[in-house]
Amino acid sequence: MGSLFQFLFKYRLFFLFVLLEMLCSWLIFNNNTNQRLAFISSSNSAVARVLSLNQKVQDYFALQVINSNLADENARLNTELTNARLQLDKMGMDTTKPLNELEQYTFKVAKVINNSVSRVNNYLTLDKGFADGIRNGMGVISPAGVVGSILVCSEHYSTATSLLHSKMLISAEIKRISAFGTVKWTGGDPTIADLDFIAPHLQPEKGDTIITSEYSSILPKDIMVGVIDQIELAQNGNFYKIKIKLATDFSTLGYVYIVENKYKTEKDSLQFNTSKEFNE
Amino acid sequence: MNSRSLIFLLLEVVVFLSLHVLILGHLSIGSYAFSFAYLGALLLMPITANPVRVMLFALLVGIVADSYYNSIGIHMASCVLLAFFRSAVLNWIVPAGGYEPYMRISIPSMGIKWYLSYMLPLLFSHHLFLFVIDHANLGQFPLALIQAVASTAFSFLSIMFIQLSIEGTRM
Repeated sequence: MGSLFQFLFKYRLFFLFVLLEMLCSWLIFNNNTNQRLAFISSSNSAVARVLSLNQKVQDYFALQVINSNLADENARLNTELTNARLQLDKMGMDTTKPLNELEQYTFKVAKVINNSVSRVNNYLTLDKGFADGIRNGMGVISPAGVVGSILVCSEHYSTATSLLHSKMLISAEIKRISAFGTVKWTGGDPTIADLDFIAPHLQPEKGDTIITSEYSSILPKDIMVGVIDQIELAQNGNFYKIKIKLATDFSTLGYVYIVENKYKTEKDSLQFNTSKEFNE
Repeated sequence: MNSRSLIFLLLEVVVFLSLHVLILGHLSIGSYAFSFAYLGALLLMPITANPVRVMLFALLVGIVADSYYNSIGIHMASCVLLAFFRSAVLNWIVPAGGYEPYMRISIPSMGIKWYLSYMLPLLFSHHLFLFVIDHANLGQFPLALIQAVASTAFSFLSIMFIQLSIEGTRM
């Protein structure tokens, strides 16, 4: 305590100086409009700058949450949109059916946690599994277009066969002329795939939109697949050889939607039984 | 400090303040050079005066100047700064052998070189501080700098002139 007083006494001139200057500043800011305004405006702008910087930093850290919220929101809107379309289609046919029974597709959002585009058979790993209601054979789409279908599920993860897979076939149609075909990836460039089985009497054009057809049991119809990039007649002359530019950029996939078709089992078993009967 | 020199000191203070209020405070060269002759009362206090007392005295002088300029606090702050720097400058330019009781702050007593190196830095720092606070705008710092330089010369000349008139050339 003694040395504290000693210290204070030794520098008493300095402390007196600081004290008096503080008193003077207080007097100045209280009695002179110019100086008060300068002080207030400069401190305000400094505070505002700090606050806006703070907001920017916080926004940055919140981006992940915002992203996943938006993805959830998109999934919900996708469900509503698809079902609304289906309801519109079917309402005219059967007015006795309650509307909620027509809700054929539900969408669940998932994050892509592993992905490849460079192999002959490419797979995606998604962060949703059994526990989230994901089952084998469900469709996977991205905001831009078709991605693939679920292959294997574990409790909390699932693997999906990418469209970039030698065994993956997607039933598709050319929207403008309603011509049905099959989309297949033949390896190499991950942005290009083939559209097969378009008959030569049809007139596909470069730039035509390719969408999923109603024949598919895993994907709803009208999901974007790509646009026609190149058309030539195959050598045997039976079909066109069409190259399409895929709508989905597989190398930058972030979030995808897993599509559940409520009537898939019913449709598949019906088709399976039919073909068995006719083959026997 | 005997009573004669105390009376003389008080007389000096009165002369500086009244001359400033009556004449020099109204003078300016353009809008750049102003005379703050009242600082003479502070600057010419005895060398050996207690720094704490000088600082309190500076506060008083500042209050008087502020009531004259109607700018509460601004001259007080500048005068207190001047008093703080005064003891530092006195320490820096202490002559060999230290200060003797007979030494006074004047050209005949200390020489022109010592006198200049005492007056000019103190006047300049006071003026710069004063003008910067007065403008309350760092964008006008170049203007404040020019005003401080010009006013330092003006104040110095007026203080030296008043001092010579009062004291003559007595040691």
